[in-house]
Amino acid sequence: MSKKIIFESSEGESFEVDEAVALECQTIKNMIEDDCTDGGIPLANVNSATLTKVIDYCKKHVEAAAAAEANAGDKDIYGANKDIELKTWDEEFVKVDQPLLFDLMLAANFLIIPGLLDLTCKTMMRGKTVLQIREIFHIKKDYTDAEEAEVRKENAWAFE
Amino acid sequence: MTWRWKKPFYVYYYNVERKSVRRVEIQGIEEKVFMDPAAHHGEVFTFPNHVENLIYLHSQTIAKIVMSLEKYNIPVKHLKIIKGHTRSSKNSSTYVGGNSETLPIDLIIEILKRLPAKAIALCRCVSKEWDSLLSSPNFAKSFLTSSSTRPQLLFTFEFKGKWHFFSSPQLHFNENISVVAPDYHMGVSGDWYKEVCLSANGFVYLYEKQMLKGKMERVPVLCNPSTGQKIPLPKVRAKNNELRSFLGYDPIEKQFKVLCMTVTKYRRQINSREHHVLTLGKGNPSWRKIECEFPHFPQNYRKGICINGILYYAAHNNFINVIACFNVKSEKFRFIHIDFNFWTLINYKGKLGVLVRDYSDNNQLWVLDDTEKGKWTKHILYFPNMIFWNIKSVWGTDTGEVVWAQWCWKKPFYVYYYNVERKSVRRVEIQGIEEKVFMDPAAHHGEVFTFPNHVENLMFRQ
Repeated sequence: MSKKIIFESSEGESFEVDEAVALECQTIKNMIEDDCTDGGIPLANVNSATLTKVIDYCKKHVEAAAAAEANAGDKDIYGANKDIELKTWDEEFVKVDQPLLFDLMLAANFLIIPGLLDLTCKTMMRGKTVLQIREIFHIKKDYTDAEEAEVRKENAWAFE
Repeated sequence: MTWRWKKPFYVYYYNVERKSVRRVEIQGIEEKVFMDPAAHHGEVFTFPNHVENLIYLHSQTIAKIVMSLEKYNIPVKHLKIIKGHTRSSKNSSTYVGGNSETLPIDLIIEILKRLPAKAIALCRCVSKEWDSLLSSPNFAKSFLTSSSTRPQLLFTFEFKGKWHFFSSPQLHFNENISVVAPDYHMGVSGDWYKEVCLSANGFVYLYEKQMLKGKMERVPVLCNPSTGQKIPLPKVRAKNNELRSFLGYDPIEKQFKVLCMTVTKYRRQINSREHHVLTLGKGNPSWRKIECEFPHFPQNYRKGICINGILYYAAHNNFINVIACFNVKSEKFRFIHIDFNFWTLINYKGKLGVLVRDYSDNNQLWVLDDTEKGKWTKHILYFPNMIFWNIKSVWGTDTGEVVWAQWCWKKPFYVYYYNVERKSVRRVEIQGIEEKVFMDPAAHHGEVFTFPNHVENLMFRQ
């Protein structure tokens, strides 16, 4: 039986996962290597809803990697389709509301899951207007109207 | 439905078969128009089966609206939903981003470096802080490292006085995709000489026709299709001389250099005369003269390519065919003697590949395994000879394919992948180009230049 790792969310809820799944997170991988995972890993800045999603993501990617390895001989034939399947799965995975997406991104950054960080960043910013970006990042507009008009003019092609 | 507005406002549904009624409250109307919820108002007109329709807008205006919305593959109807979520995020108790004013700058960089250059331009309009962050050389560096992991195919062609740039992901033979919709970068205005078009690490080197002091001049220009920036380079003095120049990139020092050689016009000349190098960096670019111990005559620009800091181009040395190898970092020349005429140079699995047209036999791909010893591996290419006549853009890939694109724009526009080992071809259609630039799909247009391994680069911005 494979070794289990226990995560604890910010609400104090426990999540038991296979070690292989936990290893998807570089931060956890380092902790496992340093042998300091006994008694569970408290993740004070990741809530249960986010953690559930993060674990789903890691599980799926571990399974996909295992399937790819099993099919290594037939890679020419099946490898490509598997890639596309995983991409489609990823796309569905990030169809969540903005706050959860933001939390997922922070969690991916904290736990160091490069694939998930890439996916969430791109999804979060895709198609956003300047106003929406200010809202997401809680940025106050520090341009005067004239200055903003000027900087928009300089970067006009981005609005084409 | 009640005929006047009053709160609560109900819509009633009567099911004819089941003979039952239910009602649905329509909430929040008064807030949207700042109406007193206690007041009674006039008649409410209701239209069932309403569909949003943009048909009679001017066709270009609508295309622009849809384009700006779908630019990042966001379907038009999703926009409202996204706005709703952003707004609700303020009241959401689980929203960690609520205190994102303290979001560390490293994390903001982590997010933004993953975006396309076009989104970076948009983000510069967000705040002064972001603008200065995104304009910094340090950000340009991390952005380049990140964008280098996702090389793209860059296309450009001229239409209505502008060069339009598109890019699509660089697919490989195995990917089971037959249609790709490219991203539109921008239209850059300029009158360019069509024979010179070389690219390296995100920049395109070309000659532009410019009126200077009432005289039409050929001005060398480095153009960055990811930002629209054009860097004009100083002219090389070349009285009665022609110029041959090539763009190179040194990945170790991360420097762009242009090599420019003068060859005598009109006379049948054997060798190049002067060799100049220009390094792109801080300050005004200027030419430096360098020595070349091996006199040689560079052939035309099309037969030049830069792979891993070595610039390769076709040349003659005392009427013998050679491939000149210019080390971009050390600025030293070497020559490889060849006993065949070749068609073009490609980057094949990171090595120099030479496409050789053989009229009696099949076409061949020669791959240079060892530059020092001049050791080649020969592959036979089983594709029709006509390809050599009909295409100008051809390149190789890291995964062992020879790829080419149609040389002029016409619909449908295809990119072809030939797998050298499997000896088979597949094609991918690049769709939707004409819609982005409002071009008549039935028309035939000029030459399309294709640049493989394009990486978005934000260096040298002002």
